[in-house]
Amino acid sequence: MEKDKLDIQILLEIALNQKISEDIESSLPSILQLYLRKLNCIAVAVFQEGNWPYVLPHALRNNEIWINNLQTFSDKFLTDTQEPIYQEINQLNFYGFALHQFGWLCLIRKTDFSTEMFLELNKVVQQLGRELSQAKEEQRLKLLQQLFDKSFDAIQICDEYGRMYYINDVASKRLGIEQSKVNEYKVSDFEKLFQAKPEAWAEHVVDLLENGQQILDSENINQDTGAIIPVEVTVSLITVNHKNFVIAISRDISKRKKVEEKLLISYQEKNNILESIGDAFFTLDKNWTVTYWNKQAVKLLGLPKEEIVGKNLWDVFADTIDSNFYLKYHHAMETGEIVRFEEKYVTQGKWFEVNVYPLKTGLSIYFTDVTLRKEADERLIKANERFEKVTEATNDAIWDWDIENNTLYWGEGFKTLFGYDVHKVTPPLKFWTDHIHPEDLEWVSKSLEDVIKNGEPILTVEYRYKREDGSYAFVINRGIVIRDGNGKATRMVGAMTDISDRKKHEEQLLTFNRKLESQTKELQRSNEELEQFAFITSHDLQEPLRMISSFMDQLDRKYADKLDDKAKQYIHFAKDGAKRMKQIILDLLFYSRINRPTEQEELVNLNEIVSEFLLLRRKLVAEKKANVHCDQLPIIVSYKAPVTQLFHCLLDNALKYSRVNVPPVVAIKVEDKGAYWQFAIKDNGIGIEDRFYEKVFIIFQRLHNRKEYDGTGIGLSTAKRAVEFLGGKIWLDSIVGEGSTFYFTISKTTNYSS
Amino acid sequence: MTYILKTAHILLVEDNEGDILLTLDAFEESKFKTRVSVARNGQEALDFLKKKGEFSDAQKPDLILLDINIPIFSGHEVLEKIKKDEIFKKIPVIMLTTSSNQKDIEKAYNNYCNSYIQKPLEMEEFIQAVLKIEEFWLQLTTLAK
Repeated sequence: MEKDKLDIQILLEIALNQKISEDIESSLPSILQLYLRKLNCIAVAVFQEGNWPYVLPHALRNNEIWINNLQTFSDKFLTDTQEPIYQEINQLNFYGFALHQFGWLCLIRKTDFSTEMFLELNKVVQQLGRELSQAKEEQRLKLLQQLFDKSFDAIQICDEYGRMYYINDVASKRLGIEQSKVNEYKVSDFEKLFQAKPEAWAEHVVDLLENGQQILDSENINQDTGAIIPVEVTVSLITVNHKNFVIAISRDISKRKKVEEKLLISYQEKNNILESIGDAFFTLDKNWTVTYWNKQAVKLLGLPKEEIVGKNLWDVFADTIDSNFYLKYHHAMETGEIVRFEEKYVTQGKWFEVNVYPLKTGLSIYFTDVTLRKEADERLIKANERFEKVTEATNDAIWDWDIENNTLYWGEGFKTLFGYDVHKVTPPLKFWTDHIHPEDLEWVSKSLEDVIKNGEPILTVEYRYKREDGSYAFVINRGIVIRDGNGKATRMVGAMTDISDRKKHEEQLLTFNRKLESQTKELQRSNEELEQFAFITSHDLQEPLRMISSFMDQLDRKYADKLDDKAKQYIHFAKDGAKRMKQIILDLLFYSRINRPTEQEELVNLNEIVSEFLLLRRKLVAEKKANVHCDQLPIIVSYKAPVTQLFHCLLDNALKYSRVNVPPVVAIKVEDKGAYWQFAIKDNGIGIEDRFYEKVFIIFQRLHNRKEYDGTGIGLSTAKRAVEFLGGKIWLDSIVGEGSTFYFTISKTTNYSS
Repeated sequence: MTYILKTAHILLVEDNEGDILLTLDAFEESKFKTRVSVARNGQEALDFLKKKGEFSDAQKPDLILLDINIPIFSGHEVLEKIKKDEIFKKIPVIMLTTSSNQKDIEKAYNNYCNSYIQKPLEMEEFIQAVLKIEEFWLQLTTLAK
């Protein structure tokens, strides 16, 4: 071999400059130290854990090439083999000799190397190796034993026949045997199963051979305390030097069991709770798979557990994809935020209130059916809307008084009418009462109290209410009491209407009426005075008139033969004047008496009245060759005097104003108009211009010269006065030159205007 | 016919001088013989009957013509007193007045006037009325003594 020759010259040179660290050298086994000297070794490096921290100084001093090559060399043989290797390092003609397992390396110059030397070294190394290995093994076992004894688990090792081989400290205590006497026992001494059936152990071993490790739950009896300990036994089969050993590690799981039991109990409790709560509940994992689905969920959605648990929520409820449910669940899942919402599940037409709680594992979702509430809410909203609309639509101030909590709600009208900002005030009843006029407060409060206490359903009060600007509005306040089952008033709703304008009008009207009344009274009084005056004057005037008239007569009678024609003419004019004045006085008396009939009401036959007239005026009728036609007239219940005056005045009028050389034709007609009679007295006289239709009824109003038609101007006004007294009307129609028709009505029911 | 020979005594109670004259005129035209005494107010009328003061030598009248509207005591009061007097109530009292007032008429009859006559406005009629009173009461009627 070429390798026999080692050129160690260079290394030697290096070594010469470097002393071996005595510490390191002394740490080497003595036999090696000996051989290293004997071998004339160039360099020895001690390595540990793949590095070369200890390089014998005499070998490696400042030679980088050496160090670099040493690294390459060691990398190679460390990985490859545990056997000593010889290798040429580069072209340096060194042999590397290393014993990996001992952690050291020698480099020998080729030239110094001989086979005998190597064999001798190899022997030494191997011997050394054995020694080292044995020492290490012992150490290792010691460590293992300590480790086992420190374990809280009971560890037993037995051979494939069940003979006990080793037990640790815990097992020793638990089984009640000394570690040193373990060889005297068999597994079957402790395991009842194996006592009863020795073949069971063999099966057990075969089982282990096939399946490797087994984990079993069992029980140990603590020999010290007698307590039964639940254990988890890990049984493994190991093979050492073709021999099979069984290692059993028994772990005390009483604590874990307790925890497990507690967990189980709490889990069951939780389940019970989840099943028993009124809310429907289900859980989802991160993949939207339903992991839990409680009874209430079954009931609410009509979906049995079996059809949903383990399935993807969106497969089962494909109809909710993209719905609010879908969006909210995804939001909770993505953000980890708790989500609460209400939503309608359109397919079933139900409203659900949903609470979504994100968990590490997914989501837990609680939901309840709020359809009834929601529908009630909707109805309430609609009702409220209606109420709001009505409140807006009306000018009234709508109010709603919660009697129990003493809060008042006011509608917008409260601002419109009185100026109070309804949003600023959520007032108690006091706010209302504070603004009632102090003079009205007492009785308004009493009325309210009466209504609430006495079971009256409706309050209606009128009072003055203070506006924000300090002025008072007249209001009418109507309210309805709402009572509970016991009849206790709990609430009152109503409206205040501003009747200030109406009140003002009423007052104006009242003032006006009073004024009118007083004026009417005044008028009545002055009328009465006038009548009185007319009556008295006409009466008193008669006396002197009678004197004039009578003495003129006496003068005429007694001294006619002593007077000349002129004197007689004077007397004639005086008598004529007296006669006219007498007529005026009579007419006036007549006129003034209409409103003061002296008799009672009686049956008045109008036909007789006309007959009386014709009898009374028979001379005139004959003179004028007048023709009076008369319908069959009714018999009425009335005062005879004014009725007579009425007919006589109008008939007089019809006869009087006839055309020259045209005999008067007068027609009296009657029509039954239901509530009253309508009469018409038609003549063929001179007629009246329409501009005088009203004027003819005014007292003393004459349209003609006395020479043409004599008259006092009282007749038609007397007729009008009579008609009005009898509760009727009078008017006329006329064509000048053809004639006039006077119409008048007489009420059938007595309704005298006096 | 004995009555024709006897001069009838009439008491006219009237304050209006014109009426007094006219009434006297009317009696002048009568064919009966009458003596007319005049009392110008209610007090005088009563004094005349009771022969008081200036009327101490007055004679009891056969007929009284009594106006209503007279001073001191009205015609109604005079009538009432006459008709309550046991002696005077037998004398016929003719209310001779211009009043056509129904109340006056009622009141007069309630106080037992013997007749109520409205003075006619025409002289001719007035004379006729007076003559008829005379004829009825002094001629046709038998009066108490």
